[in-house]
Amino acid sequence: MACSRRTPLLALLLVACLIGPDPGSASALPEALRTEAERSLDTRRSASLHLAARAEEARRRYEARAAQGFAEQAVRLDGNPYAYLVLALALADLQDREGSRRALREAEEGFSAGEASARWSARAARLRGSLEAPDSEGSRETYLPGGGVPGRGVGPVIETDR
Amino acid sequence: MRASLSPVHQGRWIGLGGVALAILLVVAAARTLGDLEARVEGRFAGRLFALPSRVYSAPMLLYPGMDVRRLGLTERLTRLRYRTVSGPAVRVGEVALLADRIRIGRRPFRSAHGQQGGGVLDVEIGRDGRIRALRDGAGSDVPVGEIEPELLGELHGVDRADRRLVLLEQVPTELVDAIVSVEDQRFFDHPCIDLRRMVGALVANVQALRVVQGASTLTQQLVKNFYLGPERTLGRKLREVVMACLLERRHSKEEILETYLNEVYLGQRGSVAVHGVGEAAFHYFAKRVEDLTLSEAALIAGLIKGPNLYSPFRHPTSARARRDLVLGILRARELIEEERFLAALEEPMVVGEQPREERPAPYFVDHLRTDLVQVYGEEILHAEGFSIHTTLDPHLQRLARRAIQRGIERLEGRATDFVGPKVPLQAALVALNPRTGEIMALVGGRDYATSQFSRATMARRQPGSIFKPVVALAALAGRGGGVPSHTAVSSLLDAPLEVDGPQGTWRPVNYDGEFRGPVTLRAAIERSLNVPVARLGLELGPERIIETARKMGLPGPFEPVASLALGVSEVTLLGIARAYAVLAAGGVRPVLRSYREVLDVQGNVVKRTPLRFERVFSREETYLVTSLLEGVIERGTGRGLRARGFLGPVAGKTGTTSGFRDAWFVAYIPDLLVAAWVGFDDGQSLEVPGSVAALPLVADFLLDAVGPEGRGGFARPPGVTRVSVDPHTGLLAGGGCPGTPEVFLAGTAPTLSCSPGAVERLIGWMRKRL
Repeated sequence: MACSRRTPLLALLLVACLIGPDPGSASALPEALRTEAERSLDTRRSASLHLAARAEEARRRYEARAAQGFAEQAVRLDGNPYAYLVLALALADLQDREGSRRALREAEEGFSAGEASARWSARAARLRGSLEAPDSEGSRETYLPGGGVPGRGVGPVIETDR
Repeated sequence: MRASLSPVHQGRWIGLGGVALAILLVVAAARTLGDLEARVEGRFAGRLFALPSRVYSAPMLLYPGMDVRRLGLTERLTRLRYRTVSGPAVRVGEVALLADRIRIGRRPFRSAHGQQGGGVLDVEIGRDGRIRALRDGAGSDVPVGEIEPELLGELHGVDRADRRLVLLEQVPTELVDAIVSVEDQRFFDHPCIDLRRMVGALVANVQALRVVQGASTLTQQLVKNFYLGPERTLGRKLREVVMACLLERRHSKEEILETYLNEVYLGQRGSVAVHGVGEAAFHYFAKRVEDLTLSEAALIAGLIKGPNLYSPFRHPTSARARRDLVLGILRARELIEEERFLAALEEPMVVGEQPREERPAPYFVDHLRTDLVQVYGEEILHAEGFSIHTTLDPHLQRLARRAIQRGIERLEGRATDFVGPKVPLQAALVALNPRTGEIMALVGGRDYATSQFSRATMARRQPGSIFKPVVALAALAGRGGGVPSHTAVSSLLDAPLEVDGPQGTWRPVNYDGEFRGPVTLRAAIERSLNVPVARLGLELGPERIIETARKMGLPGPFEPVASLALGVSEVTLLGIARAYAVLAAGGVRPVLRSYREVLDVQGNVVKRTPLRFERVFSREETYLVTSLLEGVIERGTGRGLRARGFLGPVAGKTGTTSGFRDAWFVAYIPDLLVAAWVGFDDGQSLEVPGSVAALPLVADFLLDAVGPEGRGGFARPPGVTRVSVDPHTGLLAGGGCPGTPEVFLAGTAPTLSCSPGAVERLIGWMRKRL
């Protein structure tokens, strides 16, 4: 994202650049993960975060299995909470609530250990809320936007800023 | 009196007999024909080929910052039969080793996240030997690149044949033309047999007074290979002709040709036969059949006459002459143009080294086979052509084999008693990713050819001191969220101990026979002292130890006896590795995983084993034990790892059983765990402890795998505090007492300061307990 100080509007953009992409915004998650990857000095963690970003992109393409594969690779390389969060999201897409909960717990522990900003923790909290909602039609909507897209596999968990 | 028939009657009877015989012959012929047809259709309508399942390693991941010298990248590309080229331009299956980069023309492959397209990958290498950047063919940055998996082996049935099924449309026209031209030029015109060619062959053979020319059509060859076998009798030949005609009556030429192309025998790889053009393309040229050049296609077509006689590996001159002959036939039939013909003749015959029937991980493949047979059964596993994508890292597997080999040589060189006994010295090694439970390397013995019994997965042995961290975790972890019963500085008495039991009095001793008085829990673990740990076990009670062991993934059975804490209940090496994985992964117990996916022959996923794990202890609790095990390496029985040059953060534990029957060593860093066992199958004494017999194997492996600096460290969780304490009393340092840093769960650190009075009070307290 280009940053400039010439106009007030662009100054706002600059602030956005400094803060980095908001992981709370679903569309910005891959970008936020890449930003974390660029920030990381640990090359193994950086690679893991790039894989987590790919997993998130796969989720957005409704390729839940591919997302799970990338997320597993990310965890394999490094046990960072971002990788666990994306794994939890991918497993939730696949209706694997138990697996998702376990991965989410690891993400939450990592975030609470001070590895990320409060915004990431909030993102994890929203998924926690979705997972713990009773298994009703209403909660299923959270998992499957549009009830899943025919021929495209299971849809991703879309968490909005409601 | 004899009655004689008149000539008229005689003729009638002969006529009737002839008719009856003719009817019988027709019935018999019809029945034979029916049987043959049923035989032909029985196989053709069902599964045509038994395809062995193929076992693949994990793909190789590359990313910037990796040390290329520790990756085994070029060796892997060699094993994958990438052809080295000099120029910067690479095609699929080629690699260019340039001044500051390795350019790889990757083949497409199936990855855990779907089909990968392959494509060019530039691996730029910095002066420090690490990957500086990865780029694709267009020069764009690639954060993480993958190299295709390696074939680890095949799961064959009785028929040891390899084939890669191809569809007719996948096979280049030139290869089809070449095969038809040299084997059966009128294949598309004759009904099933080529009478013209048969007559020609007959004349030639009679003239030569021996068989110099064959006349079998492709269909006849297929029938012979598929149904009849090699016997050379008239009866067999007649059946071959009839069955060929039956086959052609029911099936199209294209269908028959496709089956022939997949069936034809084209060579040998060790004990395994190479069948079909798909397998041959890979065997001779490491290519897909679609990618064969004209010259390569001609060579494969020429091989049919005598795969071993014209083998380009063994007889390159004959192979080249045969190839040129096939090219000449293609040109003579005007199936190729003059220009291409001349170019193909000039093309060098590049086949590289003959691929061997390699089995880099036979114990691992056996372990996998045992798992999968339970799911699919032998028949399906050996015939359905599954692709099994495993977790094995072939580079680490080679390092593991090397470590075992060196370790055994070292021990046999050290003690002559080890050389030449009836039962040879054995060793086993397992490497896991502790977070995911994925088996990355597994060696079950010194030589698979002489013993297939896996000491990694099948042998159950006493763990001895390698079990002590289980006891430590039971002591340092709170039960049900409560405060733990001990801390790392809890005092344990190292003094003579007697425990009466049903089998008599048990009197544990330390490895050196000495008693040290009060020692901390840390010292007891670091120095692997039996008596204080036995006392700790008695304090905790067997139920708590068994509960902890089960939570760590050790299934037992465990005897609730006094000696339980000293590791008397038998375990496997893989089981121990899994239990330690809980410590390495910060309290998460992974489900062991040897494969990720099973694909059918069409590439559909038929089974997945997803990553599964469960948190069974807190990070804080397991961190305390890891800290003790770091101390084992720094100051305790595992310090040989430092002496051998491993400098990075690492935790580990030695283990030795009574009479030196088993030597164990486990070491871990956050993303790699290595466990080794050394001993004799019959329980002979090694005469040396785990630190001498097993530790060097792990040291060799770790040094080769991650280098002396290691990789990463163990981050202290927020719920753990670090406090300076007096190592003798376990009280807060200060007031004249020297201090060393110790880790505690928040709220469990000592509050009393060390002072001369405090020391005396503590000794008084200990005396009372004595």
